[in-house]
Amino acid sequence: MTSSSHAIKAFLYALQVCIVTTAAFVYLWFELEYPFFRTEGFLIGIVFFSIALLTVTIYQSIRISATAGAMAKGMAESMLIYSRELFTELYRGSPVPYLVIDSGLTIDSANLAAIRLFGVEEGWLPGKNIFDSIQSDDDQRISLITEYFKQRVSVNNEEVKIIRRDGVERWVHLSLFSFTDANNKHKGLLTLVDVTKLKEVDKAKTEFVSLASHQLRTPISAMKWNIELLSTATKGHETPVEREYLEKIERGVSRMESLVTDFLSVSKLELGTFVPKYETIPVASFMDLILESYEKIAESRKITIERSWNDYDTIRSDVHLLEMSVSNLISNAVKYTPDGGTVRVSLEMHPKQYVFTVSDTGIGIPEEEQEKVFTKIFRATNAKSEVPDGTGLGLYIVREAIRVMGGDVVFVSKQNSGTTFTITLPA
Amino acid sequence: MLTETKKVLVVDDEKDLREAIKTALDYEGFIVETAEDGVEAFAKAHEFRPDLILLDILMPKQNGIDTLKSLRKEEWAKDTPVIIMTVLDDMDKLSDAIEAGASEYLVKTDISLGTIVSKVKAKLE
Repeated sequence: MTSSSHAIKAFLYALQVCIVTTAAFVYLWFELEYPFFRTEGFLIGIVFFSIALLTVTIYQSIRISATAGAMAKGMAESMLIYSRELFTELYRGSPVPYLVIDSGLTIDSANLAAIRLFGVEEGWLPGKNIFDSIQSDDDQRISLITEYFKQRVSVNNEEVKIIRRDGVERWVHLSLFSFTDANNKHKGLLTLVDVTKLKEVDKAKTEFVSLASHQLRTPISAMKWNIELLSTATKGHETPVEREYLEKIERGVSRMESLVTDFLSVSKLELGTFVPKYETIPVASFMDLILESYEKIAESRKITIERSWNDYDTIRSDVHLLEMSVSNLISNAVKYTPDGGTVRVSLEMHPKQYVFTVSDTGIGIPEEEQEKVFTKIFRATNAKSEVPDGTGLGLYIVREAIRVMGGDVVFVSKQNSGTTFTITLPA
Repeated sequence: MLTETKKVLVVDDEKDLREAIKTALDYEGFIVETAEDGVEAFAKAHEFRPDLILLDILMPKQNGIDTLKSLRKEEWAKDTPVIIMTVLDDMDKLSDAIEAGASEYLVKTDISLGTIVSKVKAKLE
C-alpha cells in the first residue's frame, strides 16, 4: 500500500470520528432537555473541539504520509539498487555474449561471454570499433547493419564472422537493439550467438553429399565411357547377343546415373544444405551447356529443340539450383515427346523477374493426375507406360529448388498435346 | 589427316576417365599425353607443347583454374585452346573458368566420349 493511501485512510477515519462526535453534540444540543447542552458556550465549545480535532487529524495524516513516503522511498531505493545489481550480474555472467556500443559503434562494455568469444582479456574490448573484428561474406551487410543502427531499426540474427586476435574465426548470429541511456545518448545492445558448430555441421553435410556425388558419379562416367569404347572397338564384329548385352549394360549405367543424380539432389534439398549463392550467369553459355546433354538424343529421335533468349543476357541466380531445375524440365520434355516432336526452351527478362519456359509437343499429363505432379516419386500413368524408367523425383526437385530461390513453377498440360512448364524467379 | 599431327594433353586426377579419353583420342589419330594434377600438367605442357588441353577442375596439388591461370601467363601457352571439364557440382566455377581463359567447358559426367572427341576436333579445325 502506498504512503498516500495510508494517509487518506487515516484522514477519512479521523474525519468520520469528527463528524460523528459533532453530530452527537448537535443532537444532544437539540434533543436533550439538559440546559447545559443548550447554552451558547457549549455550542462554541463543540465547534472549537471539532476544529481542534480536525487540525490534529490533518497533522497526523501529514505525519503518517511523510513517514510512509519516507519508508516507501527507502524501499524504492533499495529495490532500485537490488535491480541494478541483479541486472549487472545477469549482464556480466550471462552465457550469451552481450556488448553495449555507442552511436559511433565503439564498444562501451562487454560481458564475460563476449570477452571469451573474442578471445581477449578483460578491458581490451571497450574503446574498440565493433566492426574491427566482425566481418560478413557479403560486404554490403555490415554497411546495412550500421545504417539500421543509425536509424534505430533493430537487427535480428544477421550471420557474421568474428575474426579473433589469434586468427580463429567464429560464426555468430548478431542482433542489435537500440536504446537511450540515462544521459539521453543513443546506445546499442549487441548479442552474438555462436553458431560455428552449426555451420561446421552444415559444411560437413555439404561436403559429404559433394563427396558422395563425386565419388559415385566418377565410376559411373568411367563405366559409360568404357562401354562406349567397347562398342566402338567391337562394332561390326560383335554377335547379336554381345550387342544386346552391351546395350543392357549401357541402359543400366544410364539408369544408375539418373538415380544417383536425383537422389543426391533430393538429399541436398532436404538436408537444407542448399544455401543459394547468387552470381552473374551468362545465359547463352549456361543454357548451351545444359542443352548439350540432350542434343544427341534429340537428334537421334528427330526432336527439334528451339531456343529463345538473347546471347548477351546475364541473370543473377544460383547456378546449381537453376541448372537442376531447367535441366530436369528439359529432360522430361525430351523424354516424353514422341519422335519428330518439338521442345521449346525460352528465357524472358523482365525488370523484376526472370521467366523460363520449357514446352513440348509430348504426351501431356492426364488432368486427373495433374495435382500430384510435384509429389515425390510420382509418375503419371501414361509416362510410366511410355517410358518405363524414371525416378519420379524430377519435378519434386524442380519445385524444391525453385522454392529455395524464392521463385515459383507452374504448368499447363493437355494429354496427347503437350506440356508447358514455367519457372518464375525474382530478379 | 588433320589430327595426325595434333597433340592433346589430357589432365584429370581420375585414372579411369583420363585413360578412357586418351584411348578415344588415340583412336582418332591424336598424339596424346596425360597428367594427373595441375603441377604435372604445367610441366608436361611446357615439355609437350600441346595444341589443345583438356583440363579437369578438381585436382590435388593444384586445381584446374589455378593451372589455367599459370598457363595463360606463359608465352608458349597463352593462346593454347583449353577445354575445362567440370562435374555438375562444380558449375559455379564456370565463370571463374571463363575469366581464367578457358576456351570451352564441358560437364564430363553428362557427356559421351564421342562428344568430347567432337569438341576437340572442332576446336582444332
